[in-house]
Amino acid sequence: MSNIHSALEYIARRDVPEEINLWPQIAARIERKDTVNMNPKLKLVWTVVLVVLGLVLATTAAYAVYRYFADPGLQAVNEAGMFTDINSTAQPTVLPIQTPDAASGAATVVGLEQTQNGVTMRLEWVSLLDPRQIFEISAQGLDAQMEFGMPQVTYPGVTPQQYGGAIFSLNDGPLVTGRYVSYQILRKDDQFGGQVDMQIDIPLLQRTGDELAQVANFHFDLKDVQVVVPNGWGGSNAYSMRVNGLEVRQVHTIVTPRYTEARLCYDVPAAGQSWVIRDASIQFSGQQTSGETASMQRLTQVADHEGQGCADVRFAKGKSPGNISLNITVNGLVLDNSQEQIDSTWQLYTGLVDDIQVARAPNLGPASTPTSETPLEAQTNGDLTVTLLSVYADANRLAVTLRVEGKAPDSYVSANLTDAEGYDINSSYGMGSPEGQPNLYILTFVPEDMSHSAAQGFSPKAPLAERHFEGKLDVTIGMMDGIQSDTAFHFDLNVPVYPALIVEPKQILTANGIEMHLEKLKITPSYTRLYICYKKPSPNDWMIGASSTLQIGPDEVHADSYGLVADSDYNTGKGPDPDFVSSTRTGRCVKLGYPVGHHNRPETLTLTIPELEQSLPEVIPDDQVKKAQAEMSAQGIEIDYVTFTGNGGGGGGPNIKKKPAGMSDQEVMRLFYAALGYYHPGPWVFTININP
Amino acid sequence: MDEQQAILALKRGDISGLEVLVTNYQVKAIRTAYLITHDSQLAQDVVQDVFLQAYRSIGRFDIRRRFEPWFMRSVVHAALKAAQKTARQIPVESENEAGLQGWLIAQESVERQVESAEAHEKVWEAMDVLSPRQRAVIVQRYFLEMSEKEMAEELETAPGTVKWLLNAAREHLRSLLGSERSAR
Repeated sequence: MSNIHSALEYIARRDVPEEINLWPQIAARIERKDTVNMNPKLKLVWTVVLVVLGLVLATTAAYAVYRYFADPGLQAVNEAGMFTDINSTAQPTVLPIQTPDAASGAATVVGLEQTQNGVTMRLEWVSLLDPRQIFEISAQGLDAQMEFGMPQVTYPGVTPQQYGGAIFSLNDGPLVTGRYVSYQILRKDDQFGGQVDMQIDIPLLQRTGDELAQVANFHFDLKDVQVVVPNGWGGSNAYSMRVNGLEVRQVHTIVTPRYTEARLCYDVPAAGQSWVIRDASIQFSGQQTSGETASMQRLTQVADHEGQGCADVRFAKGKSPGNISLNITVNGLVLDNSQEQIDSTWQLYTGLVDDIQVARAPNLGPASTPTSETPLEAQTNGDLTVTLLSVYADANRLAVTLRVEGKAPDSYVSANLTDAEGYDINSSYGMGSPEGQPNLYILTFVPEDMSHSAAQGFSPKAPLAERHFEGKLDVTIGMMDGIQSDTAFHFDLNVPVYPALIVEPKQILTANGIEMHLEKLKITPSYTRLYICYKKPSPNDWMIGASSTLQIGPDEVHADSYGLVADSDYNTGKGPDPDFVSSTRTGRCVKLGYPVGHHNRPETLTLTIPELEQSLPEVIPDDQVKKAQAEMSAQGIEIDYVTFTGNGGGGGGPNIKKKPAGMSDQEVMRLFYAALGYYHPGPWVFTININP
Repeated sequence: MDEQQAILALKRGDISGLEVLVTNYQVKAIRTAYLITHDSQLAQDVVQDVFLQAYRSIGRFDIRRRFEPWFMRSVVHAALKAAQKTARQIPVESENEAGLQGWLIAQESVERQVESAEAHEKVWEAMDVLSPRQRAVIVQRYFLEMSEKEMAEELETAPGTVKWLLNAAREHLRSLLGSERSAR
């Protein structure tokens, strides 16, 4: 049995015990038709909110009426005609992810151009990520004897770390394009993100017979280029291999359709000796096939340094369309002027970089002048069509309606919202389809009120704070296997943002010994966010449970979002919230969201909180369990409570052994938790008259 | 009731059928999701959602198919998406690499290096640095013990594609474990 299997089994068994039981929670969610996964545990980040909406579609093609049964807020604004009908159909852009781990990074458009020796080179864009740095050039005017050498890239004042190779991939034609990628950690003063200066030197070489000589150097000087910290790992590269104590490294590689050249450096067995590569070969591979092997055509020794040998090894074979990786095999070293040889084989590979996805981002600082934009590479897949039917935005959330046609059964829809500058908008995000209408998707985005710095890739400003929202919606139709190509669609958005009614009632209600302060409400036509603070019954994790409701006029809903703002017992919270500063210094403040808004008329708003609910600890103390079991037994209910501990943690859960006929498991669990004292009944009922 | 009876019951709207499926598969599903997400609470949330999705879509399930592969594929996919949403950049500090290098064992394959609880922990730490996609294929291959052929059939793609993806994940894992081939 593979030992990786052993490791995974060990970890899985250690951290996920056999006794774990999700059934009560699953049954409870089915019971209340709950599609909102409000994790009762303390969380400081938003989770994905699933919203199931019931819709009725009119049969006419020109106009569709959507009925949002579970979202009175969106229903109301739709009926009021506040949706912006777009009915825009986008042509699909298939971006084949040939490097599945490629992380998208923000590209900075440059557009700087130079002409030397009749060759005009243009630096199109650069994309600096913490682990990987990319730029793209185009050039015209090269004759058949000209080629580019490997670019040299430096960052004044910054020493990149953990160098892991670089590749310069060029395409032929009257307009030569090239993409350069280097793998190293780029941090100024050991800080993530920030801005760096960048200098790029690309030599132009001219061949005369067998000799290549440099005839020009294209130099670009860039100031204050943003470094982005991406999610996930990008690129795939085997930079070095060590066999029997000797290491060979693929320092950099130039790949063209006609030839490939790699600089290979290697340890030598003893200092002062001149060892050379005995033989080397390459092989390009596609997703399904591998090409022929090509042996080295020429080897040019580069000056040895630091006790290492280096050579530029050239192969008369280049990349072909569909290639996604290059394998280089070094077969042996030989001591120059000697028969002594080392019969080891080193294998290195490089993922080709032509299809790494790169997004748009702000322009550079004053040292460069962007002149035009470079469109992203695009391909088409004619079977898939996404139509943006309508958009709605107010100060609390943005909702779009999409129709997707031609979607394969094993594919999924995901979306991302960016602002006009290309920054991701940090928001919780929900998606649902109406019953019987699987081709229709309603997406709602509720932006976080917390600002994030641009270095984290998020928009630095509140996206729905202005009267208009301008941005882009990126929709991806992905395959569940994670391997086949995703298809991306891009819609430009420019919609009015309906403002919020801010109400600060400062109401205080006391029930069952607990004071609750309703501090602030932000009410838009489709949604209400409110801030509420309370003294807790004990220093534990007491929450406002899912049973709370908000009614505005005739519409009453449960909360669909919950966030902790502050808790004096835990000395924690989400940090500064630009929308709210609590007037209380002790207790807890939370932020709740409800999918109902005002109807643009005077009406009554009622917030009902039946109880506070304590989150379940991982293990309930035995004496509390025994007390609860005794209470339950008097009602004809028997529950076993199982607890377990392990190196990776512990937990516990109830098992129902006996219950009265007709009583559901959910009812039993509620009685059990009530017997444990995990509910603190209220109710607290706030009533406010609003006048938008 | 057996599994087929449970599915038939669920198709009729009888929730007790779902309870049988939950009982049968929840542990394996949570463990699989945990190995991908590295977050036990998130894994439980993911598996809950997948069971609920299965409940909602059971009407479209072909009773002639095996439930487990269909279900586990959804778990892997959902865990992968959840992991991608919460993925963070893990800096590979030079001192960590040095520590791993120090533990280096001269073996021919990464599998033979993993021989002890300490090694298990190192694998776990290294998995944390993999991208969610790479983690997912490692879990499919080594935890769910799917062959590359099965993975290709399951994923409806060419075996070469699976091989390539698995190779990339193994290379990355190998480099993080400080083996003789270091990679980026």
